[in-house]
Amino acid sequence: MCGRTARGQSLRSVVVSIALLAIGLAGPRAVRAEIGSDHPAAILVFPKLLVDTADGVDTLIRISNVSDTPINVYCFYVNATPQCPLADATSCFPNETQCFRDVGGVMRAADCQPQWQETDFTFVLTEEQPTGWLVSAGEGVDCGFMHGRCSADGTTECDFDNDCPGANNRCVKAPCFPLDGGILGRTGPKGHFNENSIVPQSPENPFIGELKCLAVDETTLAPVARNDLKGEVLLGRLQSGPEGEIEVAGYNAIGIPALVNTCQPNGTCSMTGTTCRNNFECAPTNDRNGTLVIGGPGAEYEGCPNILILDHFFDGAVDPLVHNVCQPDGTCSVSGTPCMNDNGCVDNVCLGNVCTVTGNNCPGGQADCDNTCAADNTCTLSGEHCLADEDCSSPDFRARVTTSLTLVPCTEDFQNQRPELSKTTVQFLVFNEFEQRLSTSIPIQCFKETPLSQIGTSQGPRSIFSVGTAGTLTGQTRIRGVVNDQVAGVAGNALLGVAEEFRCAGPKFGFPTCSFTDDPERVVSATAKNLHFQGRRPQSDFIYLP
Amino acid sequence: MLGLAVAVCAASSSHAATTTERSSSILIFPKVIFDSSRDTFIQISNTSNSMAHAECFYVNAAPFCTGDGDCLAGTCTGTCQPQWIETDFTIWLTKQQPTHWSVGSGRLTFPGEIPCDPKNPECDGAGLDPGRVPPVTQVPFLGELRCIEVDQSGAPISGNHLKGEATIVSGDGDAATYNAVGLLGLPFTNNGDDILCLGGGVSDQCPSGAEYEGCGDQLIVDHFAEGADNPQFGPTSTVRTELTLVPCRADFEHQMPTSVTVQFLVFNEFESRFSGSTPVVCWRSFFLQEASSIFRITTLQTRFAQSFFRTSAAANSGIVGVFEEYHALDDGQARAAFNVFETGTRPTTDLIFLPEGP
Repeated sequence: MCGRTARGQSLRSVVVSIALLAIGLAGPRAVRAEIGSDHPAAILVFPKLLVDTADGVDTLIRISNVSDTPINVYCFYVNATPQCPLADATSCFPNETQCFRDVGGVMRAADCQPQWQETDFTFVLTEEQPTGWLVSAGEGVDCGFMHGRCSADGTTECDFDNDCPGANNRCVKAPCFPLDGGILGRTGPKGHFNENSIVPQSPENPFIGELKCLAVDETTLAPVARNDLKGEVLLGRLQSGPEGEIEVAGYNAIGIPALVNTCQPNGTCSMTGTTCRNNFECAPTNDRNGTLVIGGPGAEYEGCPNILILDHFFDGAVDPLVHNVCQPDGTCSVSGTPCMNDNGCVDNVCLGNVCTVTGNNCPGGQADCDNTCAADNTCTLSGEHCLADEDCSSPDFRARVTTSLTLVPCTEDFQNQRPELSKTTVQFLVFNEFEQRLSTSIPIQCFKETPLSQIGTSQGPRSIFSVGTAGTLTGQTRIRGVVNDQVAGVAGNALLGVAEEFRCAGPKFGFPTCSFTDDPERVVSATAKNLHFQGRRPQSDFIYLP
Repeated sequence: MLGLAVAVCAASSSHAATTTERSSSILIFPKVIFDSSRDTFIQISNTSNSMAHAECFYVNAAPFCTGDGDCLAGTCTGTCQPQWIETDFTIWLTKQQPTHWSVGSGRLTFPGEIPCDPKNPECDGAGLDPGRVPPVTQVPFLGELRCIEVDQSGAPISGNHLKGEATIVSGDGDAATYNAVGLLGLPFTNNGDDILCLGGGVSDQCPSGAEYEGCGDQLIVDHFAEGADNPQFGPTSTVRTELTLVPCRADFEHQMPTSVTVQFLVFNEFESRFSGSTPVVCWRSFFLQEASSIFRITTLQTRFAQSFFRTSAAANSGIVGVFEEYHALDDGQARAAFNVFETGTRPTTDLIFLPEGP
């Protein structure tokens, strides 16, 4: 044990000794995997899918079977796209609270109606097989009948690679299950194929919602306790027009492991504690009926987390790492506007009759691009109240951050379509870097997607999630679904979620609101991340299958 | 008493492997970059209601040019020497406190830093400083960051109070975020010395057995075949995947880089199986096709593939990792980072040797 330092070791060794003895007397603990997005599982939850092909937005799903035996997968799209009750009105997509219709020059408003509609489908993954599809388009087993386009030019139609002349020129087809089986079809090395597999296109376009998939058996679609599925999501946007800029943000599907009762080396079953000699003597904990018990008493699957934790920029914070600088090619690194020097990328300059940062016309020259105090005591560009020019915030270019949070309930009733089971209050506990604590809450029913600074208010700059209120650049937020006693025994009100972070280009005074669906031309970049978990719910959550 | 306890406990080994979603006692940020085009934004939080301390280690694995120029840019006039240089510092976080810094700038301590307000959203240093976080000591920096929870005396503890994220931001503002890989400290067995025992059983160096959960036995990466298209962006788009792997074992005391051979199994959508291996010395970040041509679309013949990575049975360390996807269309590019899945726990112990304290 040379080179080792004793830092308070004498007391520690006594504590360790006592503790080890305690562990030994208590016996081995059960092997339990936890809900997570880094281990294969039996249920996959993809909390956020987004489709709006008219604006270039789509979602790519990837799912794999990590085992060496085929697996049947039973999936449910949950359509949460809000609906407008007025015909020919503005869209409620993705998370608007109201829609409007122009009736003879008078704007008529209506509340957007929440929706919770499931569409299910099944497919087979053969051993170790990966697959993927665009949510807008789905996936079938019709590879042989599909036409593609050559990768070199993207326009030449083809059926095979040989149809595309030149090196590295391939025939690219839409995603499909390639092992179509049959007499003339293709099978895997062991004769397995993607029998009757089909993934439908999203039920709407535009569409926002979630996807849940679970491992089932081949014949009855009864759940099976196989922790062999993993998945990823890629949210992407292709900007139309000649620039054709692209953005992507990825996150891992959240896996809910099935509890497997196995015989441990000490001769007891891992879940039930009964004596055993082999796995066959340990009764399965999954009764394989249509009610999946997630955590709590009689659990068949690992319980959902008690608390979700999100580390985030406060909305509106300026990203200290994004600098819009003039590149050797005479364009700004972030905004892409022409420049002579770095100042030209930061200052709101009148160029070609348009202000480079704020985007307003400047027929009056540079003065139209300066934020000054007008005679009516409002700033000319930002609209702030002012007494002098110094009261008006800078219109200089900055990349400011906004975070979008998506929450879905662990409990879902696909059998009777009862979204009220997951109706509860979400409590947010926010800590800034001064250790100061703020909190707020909102109701949630079946799906919630919102910018952080729209939680509990419609005025983002006044939110406790805004950088101006919170006082520091970043924060830590603890998110908890409150247990609703009215649904005790049939729902647990635990939540799962994912966060997306957008960097928005604009003037320093402009509070950022950009995302793939709102003000997308201001998006500098998008990134997504899985939330952290803490604790485990004592109550059960349930998934009710049709 | 200790002997009895160890004997009783010997049969019990650690179960779960690493986590990217639970507060942990060891955080590994496998990919930390600071060069002429990228910087990395680190976020770490204390998820407990008491103070938390951590000792952090930057490890720079960028090749060192013995002459003029840059090894990474291919302009080095001398030879490119591999290096493995660690720089450590400590941070302390109050109850539930989050903190952040960029690895290029570090975090300086200015007690009078003005808090953010509606007119001042540019407030990088506001908040309670977690201590003085140095910037990385050399440019370029390509390597990892590892933070280990310690008590006030600097002794490692199994507090499981830390969580973290890293965001790699490029000069054009593109960003890709991943969660730090966490290793849970085990209750009761952590003896607070300078040898951290990840998984495995009792040994001379680990008299009380595993002090932390072990590293995963196998990493799983779902990825595009190298050069395949992203169907959303059309046939002319391409996707490449950069995988970053770090051995779990680290010897900060003797500055000895860990070398492992990583074996990989690749399955395409036809269920066809390919395999290969590649070395990893202390840290490696590589596009998949640099490890083997089997990752290319021309070989795999399907858009998607699933790959399993593990160290050889004889290796003295497991691995952790993250991967970044580079989606390209014409001149445009966008990145997304993902945490790697894993299965199983290594049966043997991986060790982290800390430098001797005062």
